Amino acid sequence: MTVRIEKPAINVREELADLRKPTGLAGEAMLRAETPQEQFNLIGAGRRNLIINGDFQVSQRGDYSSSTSVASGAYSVDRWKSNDPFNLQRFTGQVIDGIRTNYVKVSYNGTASMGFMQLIEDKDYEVLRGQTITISAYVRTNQALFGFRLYDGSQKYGPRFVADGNWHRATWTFTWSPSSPSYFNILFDTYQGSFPTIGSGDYMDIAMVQVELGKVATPFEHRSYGEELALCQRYYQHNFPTGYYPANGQGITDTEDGVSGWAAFSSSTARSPYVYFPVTMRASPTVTPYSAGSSDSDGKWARYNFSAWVDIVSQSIDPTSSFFAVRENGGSGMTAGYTYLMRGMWSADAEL
Amino acid sequence: MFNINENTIYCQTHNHYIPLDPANRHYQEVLDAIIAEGAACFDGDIPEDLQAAADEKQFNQQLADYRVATARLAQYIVADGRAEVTEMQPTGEQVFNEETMEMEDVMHEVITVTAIEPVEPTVTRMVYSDDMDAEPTEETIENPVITTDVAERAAAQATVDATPEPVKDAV
Repeated sequence: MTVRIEKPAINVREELADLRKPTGLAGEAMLRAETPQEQFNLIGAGRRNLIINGDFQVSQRGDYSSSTSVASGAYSVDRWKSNDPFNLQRFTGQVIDGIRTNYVKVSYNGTASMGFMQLIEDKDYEVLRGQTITISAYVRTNQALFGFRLYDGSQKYGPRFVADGNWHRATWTFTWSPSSPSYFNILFDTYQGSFPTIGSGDYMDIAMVQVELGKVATPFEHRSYGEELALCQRYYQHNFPTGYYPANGQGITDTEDGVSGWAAFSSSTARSPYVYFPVTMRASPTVTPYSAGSSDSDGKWARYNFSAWVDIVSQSIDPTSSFFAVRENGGSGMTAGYTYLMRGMWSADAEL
Repeated sequence: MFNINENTIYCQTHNHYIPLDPANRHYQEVLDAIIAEGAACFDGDIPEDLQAAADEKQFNQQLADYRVATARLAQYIVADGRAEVTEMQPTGEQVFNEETMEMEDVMHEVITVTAIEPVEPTVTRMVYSDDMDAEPTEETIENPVITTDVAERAAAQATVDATPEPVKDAV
């Protein structure tokens, strides 16, 4: 038996025209992607930026609203460390390339070289081993010697920045070493095997720093202030109220009043309750105590002995990554079993 | 100056209470101070476990430095150049040997180390005087590549010479 099948006529020209969709380069790349993960990466979906505080929102150590000297090896705005000394000033609420953000001015302070860097801890960079990575930042400078550098077990030198005094988005794509030390650092400096000399007036303005997987520098990933602060607190935190920075004897209302809890377990020894960190720290931090009251000695917590505030003359602090407590040794006039008002401020540093 | 404060190290200079945690950067700085200054950086005796940690860190640093230095010394001397080294390697093909009645690898000569010519021992450069009217003069100096090589090799040799025997034995 013969079966005859009829199909409607097809206009081949129209079908071919339909295939010519207005697809740009990005669209072509999406079509060429072989896996959903590749497409995910292409559109920059999900969390991308491995740099913490890349837009300098968080500054717990000081406000840096005026140019401030930063010593070699010291931290300034959260997570950012000096490799060589510089002056640093932070500018908030600035518009760069149409984006409202903050930037820092890192400038010459009399030393022949200067370096501004962030170290990324091993738990975060594990996924990067052997991968292609792109760093991007907006940079404005007057010195053509400045550029990107990184250390991932060996030195890698990135492109130098455009030194015309205007903002430019600098990018650098590289493959990261599969075997690396316990941290890796991204630097903005002049080093390329040696330090060429810079001079008075040289500066780098830096904004929106991002390090991400892949070959493409995607737009800067802005995170909320609260989220960024929590990320920073893994490395550094303190108990000073918003708008205050660690310093002795500031006499801040409420913090100067003291709280209950200093428990004496002999006439000369007492211990504070655990002071829990709001964010678990990277490692057991170094704790620095500060006096809360203007009449207290610098660096000392104080106890109220029912008539006056007295310094904790011999205090010891035993921190863990989650909490610390303060112990008083060699005090006098306490009664075992009594609790006393206490006051004191602190900072905790678990930076790399 | 440091002292032990119960379970932490107290830094008198900065009023820091430093935990005995190797992941803490200040703890590592304490070890560095013990390595560099010995007992002078400590108020009282250095606890045994802290001294042991400092000794271990110093040992590992010396070991790493020694490895880098020996690797540097193993590089060829640029003033001498480097001779070519070849060796016979199987091609992957095999042929039947009628005398031994066995299959045998076909071998070919492969360059495993390429030859490098020695660099010129000296270079000549023009020297210009501050006197605008004076003619520039020629000056012949040691090739800077050789100068750098010699300096780096000397530094590497000094590291090797300064490395304690127990560290060398650990390589």
